[in-house]
Amino acid sequence: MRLSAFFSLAAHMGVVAAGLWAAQETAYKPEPSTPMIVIPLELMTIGEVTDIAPVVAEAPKEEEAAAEEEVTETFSSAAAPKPEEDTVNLDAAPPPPPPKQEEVKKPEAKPTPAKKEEDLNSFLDSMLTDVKKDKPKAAPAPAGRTASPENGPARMGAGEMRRTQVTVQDFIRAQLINKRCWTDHSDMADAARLQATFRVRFSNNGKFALEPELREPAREPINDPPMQVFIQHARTALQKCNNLGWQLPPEYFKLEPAPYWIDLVFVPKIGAR
Amino acid sequence: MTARKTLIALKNGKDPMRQFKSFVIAIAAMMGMITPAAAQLRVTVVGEEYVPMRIAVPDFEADGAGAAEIAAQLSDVLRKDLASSAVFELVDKAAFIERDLSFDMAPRYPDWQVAGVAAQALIVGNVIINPANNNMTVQFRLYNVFGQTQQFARQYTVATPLNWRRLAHRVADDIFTQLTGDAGYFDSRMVFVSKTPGEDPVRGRLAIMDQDGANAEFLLAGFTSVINPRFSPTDQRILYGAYVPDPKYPGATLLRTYLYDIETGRQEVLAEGPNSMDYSARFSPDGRSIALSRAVGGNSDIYVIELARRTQRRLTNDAAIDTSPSFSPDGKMIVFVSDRGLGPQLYIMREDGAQMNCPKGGRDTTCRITFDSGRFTDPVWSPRGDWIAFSRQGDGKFSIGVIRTDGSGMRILTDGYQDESPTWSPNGRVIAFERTASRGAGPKLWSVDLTGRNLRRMPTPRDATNPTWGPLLKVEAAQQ
Repeated sequence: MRLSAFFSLAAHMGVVAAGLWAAQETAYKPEPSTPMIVIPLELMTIGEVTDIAPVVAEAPKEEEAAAEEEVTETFSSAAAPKPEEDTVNLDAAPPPPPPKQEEVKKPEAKPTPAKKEEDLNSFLDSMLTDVKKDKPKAAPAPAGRTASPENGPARMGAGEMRRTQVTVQDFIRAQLINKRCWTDHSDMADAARLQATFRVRFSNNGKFALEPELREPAREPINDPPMQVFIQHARTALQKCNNLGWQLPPEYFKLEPAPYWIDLVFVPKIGAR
Repeated sequence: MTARKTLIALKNGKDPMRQFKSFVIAIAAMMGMITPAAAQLRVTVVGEEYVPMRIAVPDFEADGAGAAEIAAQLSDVLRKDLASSAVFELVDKAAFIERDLSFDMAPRYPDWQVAGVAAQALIVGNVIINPANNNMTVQFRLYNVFGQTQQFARQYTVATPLNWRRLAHRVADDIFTQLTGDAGYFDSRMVFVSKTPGEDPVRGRLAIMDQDGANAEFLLAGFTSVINPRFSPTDQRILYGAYVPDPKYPGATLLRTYLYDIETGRQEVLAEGPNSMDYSARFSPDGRSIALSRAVGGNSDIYVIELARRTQRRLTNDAAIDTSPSFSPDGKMIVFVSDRGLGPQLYIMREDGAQMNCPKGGRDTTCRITFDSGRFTDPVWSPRGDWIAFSRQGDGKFSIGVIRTDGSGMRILTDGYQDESPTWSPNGRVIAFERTASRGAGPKLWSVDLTGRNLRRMPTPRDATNPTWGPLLKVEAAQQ
């Protein structure tokens, strides 16, 4: 009896040991860790490069959510104010309808984030926190075509930007020419080589915000009287039109990034051919 | 966004070096966000329309006995000079708002900026006659009205008020230079052949005048059949041809080329070869040599003669008629007329006669630059070097035109019944020429801007042909 009990106990212990061994052998073994390659990513709103209104991001799929869990967590969980009134609205055409509420799906609950590395540099951690704080909070839903949980306030599409730039170009060019501030200088010696670029910025009182700055050439050449005179005439043209007052489309003052600098390139007609 | 992502990645990184690099990248990215942006928009502004520059020239102030009259006259000549140029448009004196201008005080710029005045430049001057020695001083300031700055100021002093007219031209040249970047041309003179209406067309007398037509007078009373005068580009000498009695054949005439110094009155026969005839002589840019056509046995070729030693070089040797040479301003090239193609066309060649790359391809000692059905004559290389002026006969008209030195960009500036004999102003911006308006009409002198604008009649006492524009006169006044 005692002997049989002993053999039974030994056999059970052997079975348990074999089971433990088998379990250990078949368990998942992670591969040796490799150094992580940091690839900077530029997340871009589609509205910045196309006219296509970006669809408000859907809830990320499980695997994507796992990959971007921290980012998503950070921005989706933040309190989101409504887009401000200075959201760029360039076209007279009515803005596209806002996306329906139901299209915006809340990101699903994420798995518990992996435990953060304990050896994080506290300074970097604080910087990251600051960046997160500075970032405007995203709207939870509407905000039309330019709203996205990624970028928050509305952004101009590339097509709108181009149209606005063309409008601003036309306004400025038309005033310089129609008000006879800038006229043809083809009769100057070797006129085809003459060119002067001034950088300007306008304030909303119809004047320059700052004195025009000569950019090209960087300095007025001392030994080149025709170029000197050409630069002087370009500067006078700006002063003359500034005295008369600039008229700019309101879109100019909404262009981003502000302040919006413009380089004015003065050339004679013969040099423009 | 980039910075944030980078930081997130950094938080997960393990390699300290990679962490550090990522940190640097993150900092740089954030710095980039606050760095003043480059211009976001570039607007090219092409001057479409030529508009003369509006310039206001109130009467100069006066100080001293007789100064008021001279100041008024000087101001008037200055205004006429500037108005004669295509560059400027004078503001009507009646439109002036500020009338109490003082030479020693800055003007009230807004008064000159308002619509109706809209002067871009303002000239304020002063004439002082010193009672002690009768010296005259002319001071002036040039203001940039829209820049609200004094752009330039100068003062001249001369020994006698009698020189006021030249001082007016001098001031005009200074202003022209300041506002255009080119040298002026107002203080210069012009020689031409004066014709008496109804007289034999061959007859003509050499005459000289200021470029504005003032102070016209005859030169060389003894010669009555003068052609093709050419001013030296450096001094007051001229070349000209004259028909004189041929000593070998009584009753016949001979064409001679003379070199004449206007200031000293000295002249000499320049070239006269046996059994040859020299004509169409023109100075080199330094005034030390001349290029001319020499006809021998019915064939004309181009020669260059150095004036000091009278050495001669033959540049062309062709059965065709080569004539009317004109130097480029650097003296290295010559443009001339040849009928070696079909009809008279323009050719260029090196002054040393060496081979060159032709604008239309290939290498040769001469290169044709016009390929036109017209007949080209009188080519003159611009003092600026960028254009060649010519007269062209074609389509039943005579025209004055310009062409680039590589044969491109030909433009006809004027045409009429007979426009010919172009000559450049010393700064290369204006072309004077002779125009016969219709059959039987007398020839007159006209001028036109290089751009084709500002066609104007130049005043001459009688009919006139063969204008040649002299260089700027030397400054004799004390200049400060």
